[in-house]
Amino acid sequence: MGEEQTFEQEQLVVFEVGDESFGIDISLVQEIIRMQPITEVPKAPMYVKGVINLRGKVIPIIDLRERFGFITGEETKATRIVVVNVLGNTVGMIVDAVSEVLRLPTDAIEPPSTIVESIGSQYLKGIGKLEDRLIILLDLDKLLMEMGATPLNSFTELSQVA
Amino acid sequence: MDLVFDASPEDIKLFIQEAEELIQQLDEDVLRLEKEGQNPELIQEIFRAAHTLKGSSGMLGHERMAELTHAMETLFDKLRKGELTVTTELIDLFLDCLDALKTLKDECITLKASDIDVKTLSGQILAFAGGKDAARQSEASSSQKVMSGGVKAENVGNKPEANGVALALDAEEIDKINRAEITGSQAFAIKVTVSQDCAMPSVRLYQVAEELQALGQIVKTEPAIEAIENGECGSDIELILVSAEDQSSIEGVIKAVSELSSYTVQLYKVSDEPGQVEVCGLEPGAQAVEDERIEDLGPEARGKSQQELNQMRAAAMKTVRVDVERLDHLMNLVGELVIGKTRLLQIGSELADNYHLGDISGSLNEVTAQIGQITNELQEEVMRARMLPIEQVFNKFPRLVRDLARSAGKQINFVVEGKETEIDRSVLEEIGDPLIHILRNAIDHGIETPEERKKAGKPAEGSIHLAARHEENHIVVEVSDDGRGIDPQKLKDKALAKGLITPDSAEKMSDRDAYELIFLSGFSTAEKVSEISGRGVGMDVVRTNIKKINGSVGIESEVGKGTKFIIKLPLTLVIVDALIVVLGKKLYAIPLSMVKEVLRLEPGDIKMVDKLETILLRGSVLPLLRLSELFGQGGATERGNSSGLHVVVVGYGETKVGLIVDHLVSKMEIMIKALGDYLGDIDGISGATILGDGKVALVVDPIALIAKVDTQALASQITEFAA
Repeated sequence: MGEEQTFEQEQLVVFEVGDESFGIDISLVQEIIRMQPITEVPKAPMYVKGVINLRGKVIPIIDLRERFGFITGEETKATRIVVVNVLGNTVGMIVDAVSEVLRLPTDAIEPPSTIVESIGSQYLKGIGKLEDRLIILLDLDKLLMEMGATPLNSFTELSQVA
Repeated sequence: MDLVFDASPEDIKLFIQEAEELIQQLDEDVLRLEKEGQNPELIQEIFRAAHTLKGSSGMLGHERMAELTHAMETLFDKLRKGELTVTTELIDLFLDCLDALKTLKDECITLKASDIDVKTLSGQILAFAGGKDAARQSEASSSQKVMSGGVKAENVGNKPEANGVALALDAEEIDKINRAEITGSQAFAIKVTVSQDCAMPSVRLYQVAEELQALGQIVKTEPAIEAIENGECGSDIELILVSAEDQSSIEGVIKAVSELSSYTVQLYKVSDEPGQVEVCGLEPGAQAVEDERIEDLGPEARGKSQQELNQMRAAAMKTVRVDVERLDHLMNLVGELVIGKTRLLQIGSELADNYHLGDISGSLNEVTAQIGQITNELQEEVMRARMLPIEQVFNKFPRLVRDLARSAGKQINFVVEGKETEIDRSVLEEIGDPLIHILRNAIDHGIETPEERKKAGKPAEGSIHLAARHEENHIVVEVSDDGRGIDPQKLKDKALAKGLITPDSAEKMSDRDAYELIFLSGFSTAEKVSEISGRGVGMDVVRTNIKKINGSVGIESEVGKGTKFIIKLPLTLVIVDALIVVLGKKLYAIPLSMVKEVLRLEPGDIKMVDKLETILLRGSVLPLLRLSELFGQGGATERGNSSGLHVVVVGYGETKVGLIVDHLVSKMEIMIKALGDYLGDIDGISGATILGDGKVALVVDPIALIAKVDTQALASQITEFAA
């Protein structure tokens, strides 16, 4: 990007989960921290890994891999916790890697309405197209607040459709 | 319509607080009035509260509120003078007015005018007070607004040297005086002449003005203060002072200034006739009756209330109103400090154990101990600062009970005890609703109708007691009534009909357990759904709410005699003592307030009853729960563990459960932090805490765990043990 200046832009934090790139609005991101010991919480949904102590605050940590129904991967050096503030809640999300912060012109985003209705589309804000890459834009409000543990294993197909 | 008040947000806040307190007091007093009838002291008290409210609303510029309180005041005055008697209609009218006042007060928060029709209400009041008087009142109130322009000075004073003070006041200044009068202050016309031989009259005059300024507000001076400052003045000054002080103290202040030849201090009165201002000499007796807007108490009573007011002011100076959020934040910080302290202790002992540091280690321990001491004291003080008398919640109930009793057609004598019991405000906030619910239940289902009561040989008037007291480390709140009581059999039948229990378990169920059925969700004993209670949400909500604040609720009842709800509440919610235990590799905290004792068992002690592990503890059955299984933690203690089992006995009252844990670690002060909305309620976990090493430990919720051991299984155990 660069040659074509667009005023309407979205600034995104892009991270990787499984083989997919996901983007979330940068204003929702409080901080990005390294993995740390997580205290398990019994009887919480499977994808809730537990809670951590974030400078005196206890915050829940969810595993986006499990949330999306990907096979749980190994924790690597690149694994991060993206701490987001959504609707007054501070929640940490485990992602495989945080790749970059980028600006995406609004017109490069396909609204979810054009995407085939399927499980998971409710958690999407759209698909961002950037050169040859596709970035799935997540609707965190819905994703985090709806505790219904719908596995989102159809993301790969979705991005192909878009 | 948007409202604009002539006051800073802080002043409005203060006003709202004051108004809330005063309305609350009026509420209580009016109810007392209904009970006690013509009690002169009480009426005086009511009058004073109404008067203060009128004053402060007037000061804020809340005209509608001032108007209504003014009308109410008139009525109270009639009562005081014995021209009216206390009737139910009168009380109802007062209560309506108080409700209207509450709404009007809320206008200060919303800054939007509500639809309260003050005119009609005050019309009703004045109709009550009598036609002739009504006319005079409305005239008086309307005259407050129209004054401006022409000025007439009239001197009725009997002091020979009293020269008429003639100052032209503009509308704004008259308005100031009017407002002052509403607040119980008075306007004085003052004229001071400096003696001929004074070298610098302007200095003396300035001094006079300065001294008077300290007593109140100077509305107007002639010549203007600036002119006096510049020395552009003669030998005299005229001024209008608005002050809460009486005439003699003003005179005293003037007298103290030297080199004055004469002075006069007179009551200044804005005339009732539009466009007219008059000054009249202070003739205390006659004047006070004349002008009802100023003060209806007469000079003696006024002096007294003035004195009391001053005392109140002095007391107010020593206290500071603090935003609740600040206190919460302070408490949080102290909590962090407590965590830090614990951590420091831990590091200190690690250092002492692992390194030979000698002196340094010693001084570290010393400092740690000192910081620990200070932290403890700080914590105690902050906690105390957060404590409020339970009165704040209780005071709302007499009105509620009265209203509910009236609409249910029941006669109820409501007695409140232990209002002064102090409790943390976070707890205070949470107990209002459960208590209202219990009270409603007592009125609706507990207390019988007067006819029924007479038939049962009881006095027609039922009674409900609400009592609070300190007990060990708890606050105990009891609500008892002398109504029909709860029939355990009925409860069982009901639960059976609703399919909540099986016939078999119903039979085995003890009365005590039967009462517990009330707390099951979807259980309501009301045979007919009434307006007051029995809307499906019932006692289960009560228990859930009380549980949320680490409290417990129990029932005692006897058919025909009455029911008693016993609520136990913690002193504070934030920082608690806890027992730290290990499950697998994780640490858990169990609030010490729930821990009855700690046992060590041999696996052989455990007896299986109905798939439930139990032991016999001092003759009674104690069900056991394996926490690690409940919480799905690996590495649970094996049953054949040679070191035996650690059991933490938790419970309240007679209800106890033994929790099997892997190890006990220590007793520790913890600060409970909510898991947050995101995780919501996790069964058996009430929150999390951060330990000294920064790790997070989950806080066990013993009440939820006790609830897991269902009463049916328990009942059957008891029978089997007995067999």
